[in-house]
Amino acid sequence: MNVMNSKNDVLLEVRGLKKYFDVSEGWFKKEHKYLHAVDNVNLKVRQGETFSIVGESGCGKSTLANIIMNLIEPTEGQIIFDSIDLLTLSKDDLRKKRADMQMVFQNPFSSLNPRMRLFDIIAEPLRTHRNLTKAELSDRVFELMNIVGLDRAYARRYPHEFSGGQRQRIGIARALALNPKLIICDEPVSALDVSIQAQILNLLMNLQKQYNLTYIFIAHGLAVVKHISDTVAVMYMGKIVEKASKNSLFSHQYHPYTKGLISSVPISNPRMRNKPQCVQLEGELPNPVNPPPGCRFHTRCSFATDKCKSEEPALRNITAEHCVACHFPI
Amino acid sequence: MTEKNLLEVIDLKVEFNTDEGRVLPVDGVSFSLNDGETTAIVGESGCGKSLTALSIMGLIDKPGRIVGGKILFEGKDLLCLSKRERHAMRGKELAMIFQEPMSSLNPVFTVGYQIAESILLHQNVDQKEAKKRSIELLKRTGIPRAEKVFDSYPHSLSGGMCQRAMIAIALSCNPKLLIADEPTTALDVSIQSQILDILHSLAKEDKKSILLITHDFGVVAEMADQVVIMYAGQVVEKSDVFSLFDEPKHPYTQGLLRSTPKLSEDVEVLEAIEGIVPNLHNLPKGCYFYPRCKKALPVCANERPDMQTVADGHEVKCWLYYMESSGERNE
Amino acid sequence: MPKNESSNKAHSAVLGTTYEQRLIDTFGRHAKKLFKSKTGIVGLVIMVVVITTAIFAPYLAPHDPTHQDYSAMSQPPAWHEEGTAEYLLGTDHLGRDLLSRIIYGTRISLIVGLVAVILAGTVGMIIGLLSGFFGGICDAVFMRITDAFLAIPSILFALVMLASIGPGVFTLILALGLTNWMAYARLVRGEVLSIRERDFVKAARSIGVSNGKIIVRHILPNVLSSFIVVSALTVATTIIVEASLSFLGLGIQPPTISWGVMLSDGRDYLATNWWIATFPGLAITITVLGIIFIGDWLRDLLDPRSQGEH
Ligand SMILES: Nc1ncnc2c1ncn2[C@@H]1O[C@H](COP(=O)(O)OP(=O)(O)OP(=O)(O)O)[C@@H](O)[C@H]1O
Ligand SMILES: Nc1ncnc2c1ncn2[C@@H]1O[C@H](COP(=O)(O)OP(=O)(O)OP(=O)(O)O)[C@@H](O)[C@H]1O
Ligand SMILES: [Mg+2]
Ligand SMILES: [Mg+2]
Repeated sequence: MNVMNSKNDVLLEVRGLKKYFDVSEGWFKKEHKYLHAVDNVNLKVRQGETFSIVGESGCGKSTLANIIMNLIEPTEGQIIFDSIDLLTLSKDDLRKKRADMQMVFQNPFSSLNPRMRLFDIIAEPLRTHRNLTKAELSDRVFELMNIVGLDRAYARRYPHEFSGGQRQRIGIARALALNPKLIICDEPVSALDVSIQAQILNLLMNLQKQYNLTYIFIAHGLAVVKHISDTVAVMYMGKIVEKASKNSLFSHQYHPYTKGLISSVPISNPRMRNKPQCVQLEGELPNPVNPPPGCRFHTRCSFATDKCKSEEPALRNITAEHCVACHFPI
Repeated sequence: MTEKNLLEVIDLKVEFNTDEGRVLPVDGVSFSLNDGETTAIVGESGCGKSLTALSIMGLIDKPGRIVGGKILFEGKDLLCLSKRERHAMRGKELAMIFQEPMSSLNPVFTVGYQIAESILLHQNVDQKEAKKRSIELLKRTGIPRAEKVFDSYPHSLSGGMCQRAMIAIALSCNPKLLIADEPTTALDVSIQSQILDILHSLAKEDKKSILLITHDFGVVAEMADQVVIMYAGQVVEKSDVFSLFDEPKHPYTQGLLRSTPKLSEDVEVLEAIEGIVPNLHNLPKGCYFYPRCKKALPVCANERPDMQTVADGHEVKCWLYYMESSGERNE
Repeated sequence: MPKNESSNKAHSAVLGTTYEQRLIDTFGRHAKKLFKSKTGIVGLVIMVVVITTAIFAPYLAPHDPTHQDYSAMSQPPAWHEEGTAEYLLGTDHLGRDLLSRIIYGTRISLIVGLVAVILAGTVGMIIGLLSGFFGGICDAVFMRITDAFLAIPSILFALVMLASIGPGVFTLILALGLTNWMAYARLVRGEVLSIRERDFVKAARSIGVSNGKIIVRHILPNVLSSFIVVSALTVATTIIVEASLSFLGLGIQPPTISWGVMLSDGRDYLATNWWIATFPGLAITITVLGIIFIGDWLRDLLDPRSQGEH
């Protein structure tokens, strides 16, 4: 680790980020339709924290992660990482900067090249960015394998010979190889078995402590988010609707959507099963190509008024560390 | 007891003949399901949950084969019936919903057609009546604008809608037993809770018997009366839901319950179960859970335990409970 | 650090053994795989025989393939009543020994088949990789060119080339290569399009691996297996197309011998002296089968999945 930043330094800031996918149909009379996958997202991730993004499928979590990783170009916005605006960097500088930012993917079965051996998979970032001798390289790879709990005897195996959890460890080792400052985890445990999920979560948390890592953690399982995060942002149809420190968010939700999400998680206690739910989420996500005007959640909100249908609420602070985008926070 | 049992599976064994030899992905599974109750089968991926369900439905396909056991449905052994008799039972007495709602509906027919088809197949009604009943069923599963959905093709519906349509098809002939194989795994939490509500009301209001397969203890706590925990093809613990959550006995069940983060409690570090699920081709010599077990005894390494009754209606397959239980070691 | 002994123990129990053992195993498994796949063995035997024949033709051929024995014209094969042991497969209408001609013909036919496919495969692979990976304008341009080539009947194209440049082995290879690459380009492009979206490519990009390396290390190896299968099939069709071009008199020119030339020689005598066309035809069929079998086996061999426990 080079300079140890204090926990309050902002490592990553995203300003006014937008991504509209062009989903126009037809070749000739082109009617332009855009899918607002990420719409005006602002966030600040502090050094050393775990910043979680939760939301239902299709709300734009992965798109946001991919934009931050520079894997897709945003339509508009700024990404400031380590005080540098990434979008103004030249291709070469960007490639170098990438070493500080890594990603762990959701699907452990498609995120590893089936034709590469474990050793080469973990060595790839080192070969790309560092000029190591053969011995240094294999030392580092074995060290990484040790860190994530993989036996060094596995080095020459192919990915298909590993279980899902082991593959996820390989993915984590690859992400750690260059001592990054930020790791984006896109649903790293959703594809894993229950008993393996805890292993991977514990591993991620240990690594964070040890190497002062910053995580952006994407998930749709709220219990997992509650366990691992410091700050949580809730996304709905490309927008952040509520953002707060974990404790504040889980003790009180101001946005009806967040409330609904939390109360729809089944409670692991059979004696509480008939507890009435305060807010039930009804209906389904509207079509993202034609998002509803006003507050995007109004079609499913039981508190919606005329104002919600016409006027879009801005994200505003309720307390110092809790913001919500709702006209009538509850 | 037996009269009350709608379904009783006794020592079911399913065999697969693979390149590397024979495996028993379902190895001596026994459990019962009382009329009007919900039994949940819980276990990790590959432990044989779906195969157990498919065996009950009579849908085990070629490389697989049922090699032992009995499946008693209302007292008669399903495995002794002819192919035609089993076919006639499907849909009418037993119905199943699957994990992937999108791929279990046929993409070239409308949802309505598929529901009406199953009604026409099993009941003596005309087209018009079938359509009327289908729309009622769709409404029953909480679909708004059911008439419109009736004429839609599956691709134009969301996963949640498709799953509702699947439930409607399963209910179309008023089956005595509904098997739901991970009905909510592929869905979002908000949709999951809506689907669970439907199943819940089926169980409570219509007194439907449901065999629910899942790996989520939250779903179990919300839905089940009886719980069956499976590991590597075997049942390791059986109990009613309350005593299972109050006092899980098997180290595997305990581990599973502790390793899932919960909204209601805060823990610093999750207690993970170390290691991985054993490969069916290379099962441990003793208890299958032995290599991962924190409480293992010397005997666990070499001998497989039998099912022990530890409390009324609570059985567990673990050496730890041999001392407590009244039964002798039966070897 | 979660360097958990018990979990490693469990892993080893499941995944087995040490590195050295596994290395030995891997070789063993390749061999086992080959012997298990009966078609693979058959293919291998056929190809070894065909290639040795091509290399050692002068030593194997009982006669000079161009020598015309006027005393034994159109002689049937040895097992026929009128056949003699001197000409095992009989002679053609000019009294040349068919067996020797087939043996010599192996050389040209194999060279034409293999080189033309390598040419077509390389062109198609490059175009497919570039257009699939980079997409956009690059893709549009390359694919329109491909379409244009596809729209021309390939035999016609080859005919025009051969007629304008003049027949010969080199032109034939060029013509066959240039009329066959489109299938590869389409195939490779399709595969690349789906592989490009897989997470491991995203992972490589997020590491900062350059496009060139992504193509070579991540995309190419994953396209290779279907590429090989198609190549084996194309070697087969190329030998046949060579035969038909020669049959039309535009391929290999006598006195050079290829199986195609022999086929075309035999066409006039099909009704009376069936053996003149049948034996070279048989040689083509057997070789093509051998190549297809080998291709299938090679694909399995290259697939790491077939080496593992699963
Ligand atoms: N390349 C693309 N072209 C068009 N639309 C896209 C593209 N990628 C994503 N989308 C759309 O953008 C929206 C957001 O997708 P995204 O993958 O970010 O969702 P997500 O929140 O990650 O969902 P999940 O939980 O299912 O992973 C979706 O409606 C998706 O259909
Ligand atoms: N067609 C098949 N050929 C070989 N093995 C099979 C086949 N189908 C299933 N199996 C094996 O049977 C075992 C049990 O499968 P099953 O589908 O019942 O698991 P499951 O408990 O439903 O898991 P999941 O939670 O992933 O659905 C698995 O280990 C699987 O590998
Ligand atoms: Mg995603
Ligand atoms: Mg299953």
